Formats: sequence, C-alpha cells, structure tokens
Amino acid sequence: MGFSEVMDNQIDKVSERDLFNFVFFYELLSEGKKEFLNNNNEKYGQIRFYKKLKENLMIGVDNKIKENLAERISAYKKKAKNYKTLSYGF
Amino acid sequence: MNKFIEALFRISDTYVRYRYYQINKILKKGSLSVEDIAIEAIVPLFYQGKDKSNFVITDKVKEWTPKIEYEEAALFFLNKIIAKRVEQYISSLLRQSDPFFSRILDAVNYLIRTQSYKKTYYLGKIYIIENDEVISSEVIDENTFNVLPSSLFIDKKNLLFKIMTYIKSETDYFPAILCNELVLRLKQLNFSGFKKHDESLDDIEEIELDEIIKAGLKSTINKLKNSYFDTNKLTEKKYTVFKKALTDMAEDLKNGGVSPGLYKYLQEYQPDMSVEKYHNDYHNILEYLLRTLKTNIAEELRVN
Repeated sequence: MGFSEVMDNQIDKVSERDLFNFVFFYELLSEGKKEFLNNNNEKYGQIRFYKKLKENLMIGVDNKIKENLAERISAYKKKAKNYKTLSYGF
Repeated sequence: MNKFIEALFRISDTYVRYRYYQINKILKKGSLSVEDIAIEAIVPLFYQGKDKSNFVITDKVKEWTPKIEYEEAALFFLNKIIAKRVEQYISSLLRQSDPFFSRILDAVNYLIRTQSYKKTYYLGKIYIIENDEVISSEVIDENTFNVLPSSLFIDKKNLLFKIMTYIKSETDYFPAILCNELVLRLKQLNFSGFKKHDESLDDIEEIELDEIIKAGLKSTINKLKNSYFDTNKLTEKKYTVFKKALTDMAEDLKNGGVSPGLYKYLQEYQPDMSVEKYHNDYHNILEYLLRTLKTNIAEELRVN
C-alpha cells in the first residue's frame, strides 16, 4: 500500500490537533483532511468549541478582570508596556 | 507579558464557560464567578519555576514534546496546558465541595486501575478510554452523556464495560466516558454507597443518601449547640439561623456541592446582615461548621 493510500485510509482518523488546526491554522492541514472535515463539520463538537475559543481570544479583557489578574498573578503588571504581539493577541 | 496572561485567561474562561455546564449550575448559587475560576486555574502557572528566575509555565514549555518551534505549536500547547489546568482546578473544587464526589471518584479510579482502562485529557475534560486507544473522532458531550439510559449504571462491577459497549454499539461517538460526569451521574442516580476498606466496588451497597446526610447534619447541629449556643457565643435567634443554613448546605452537598459563597446561606435567613458583619463575626464559625459537616458525612459514609 502506497503512502497516499495509507493517508486515504486514515483520513477519517481525526486528531485533536487536526480539529484545532482546522479552526486556527487551516492552511497546515492536508488537502484530504480539509475535504474530510469540510464535509463532516457538524459531526465534530470540538470544531464548534474551537471556533468559540477563537472568537473569545479576539475579545479584550475588562478592567475588573485586569484588576483581579494583577491581584492574583504577580507577573501581571497594572500598567502594561507595549510589546509586539502574535496573531492571537499575545 | 500582560497580553500573554490575558490570552491565557481568555482560553481558561472559554473552557470553564463552554465545557463545564455542571459546575456552572453549582456556581449560580455562589460568589465564585466563571471569571474567578478561570483566573484561579491559571494562577499556578505563574508560580516560581525550577529555575527561580522562571515561571512554572516556562518549565512546561521546555518539557513539552515535540519541541515548540512555531506559533501553531505554541498556541496548541497553551490550549492544552490551560485545558488541563482548568480540569484539575474544577476537579479539586468538586472534591472539596462534595464528600460524595470524592468517594465515588475513588471507586471509579479503582475500576479504571483494575480493568483495561486509562484516563486521558481531551478538550479540557478527563475521559476514560480503553488501554492503547487514542481519541480520534467525535466524543460524547456532557448533555448526551447525562441522558444515557440509567440501566447502564446499575451493574457496578461492569459499569465501564457496559457504558463503553453502549457507546460503541448504539452511538457514533468514539468509545470514551466522561470521568467527572460519570461520578456526578452515579451520585445523582443514588448508587453511591462505597465502603472504604479496599476502594473496590465489591462492597458497594446502596445507601440512602438522605439517611447519611441526615445523620451528618444531626452531629453537626449538636456541635453547633454544644460549642456555640450552650456557651452563649450565639443567641437563640442566631442559633436558629445557623441551623437553617447548615440544613441548606447539607441539601446542596447532596445535590452537587456547597457553593463557595457561604454568606448567602446565612443571608437567606437574616437578610439585614451585612457582608462586613458576616465576615467579622460569623464567617469563621460557618466555615468551621461546614468542615465539620463534611467530616461527619464522610464518617457516616465510612461506617455504613
């Protein structure tokens, strides 16, 4: 059995990482996985969850939560410096 | 660093909010919010690490395999690490707030150890799966798990086998059982008498939860009377308020756990009591009595 046949046989074996990448890093999935997950999107509650996570990562944090973070985590400074951020807000 | 911590908070908050319906029900009655839990879950990641100039999370990055080299791997790692922290924190909350939960979980762990199963973290939850398996398709969610037929939960020795077989034959889900939800379901179904001797399910007897709660509450109210009312530390009116609050706490222990905001239990029967007055005069007493109540219930479970 060739490599492509092995991949085809495993296409419905979807890992947690595949589901994560489907939402966050779509371009990293193989064409077979993309097609499989596009056709079976509703079967995976995990995809709905990761979409919600992606949305939430784009939302800012309100002042009350900032105060609580500063109170509980010493590394969190009340007045933040501006750092270069990555795609998902940090 | 702030942006990074805020992102971790957002991940944690999403897990608590969308993966823990059960804990949300418990929280509705308490003063601990979803946001509080989300923060507490990530706090230990910022304790001092092995190298004192680093944090625990730095150690975890170094230990993670495969090595984290790209943004995709970094975000996936953070997602996994936060999911695990949230699960650990919520499990400890459930254990602390509910002696029944703790006891049943010990017995379920015994089944996992002695039969061909293992536990695995998946999307912020602990699942029980068969040895040598890796989750590779859709897993059962909390709502669906909670409506599985009650008959599957009766044969305690074959509990995991029966549920696993049902999931395989009657559903399209990957054969995996939600661990904490199993414990809560067992408790809800009142199959929760576990003898302490060897943690095994061989000695399981069905014990009436109500009887255990009643006996534990009675001993605690005796303690309240002897230590606080008879010694004039509490007036008769306050004694009655405490008795009612303890009765509500006992009922909540039966139904899922005491909510962390103890003030509300007293306020229910004395609405004019301020938070400040409560903290100055009554919080320590109520906290002590709650510990006593849990100990008494655990003792009742042990002897039954």
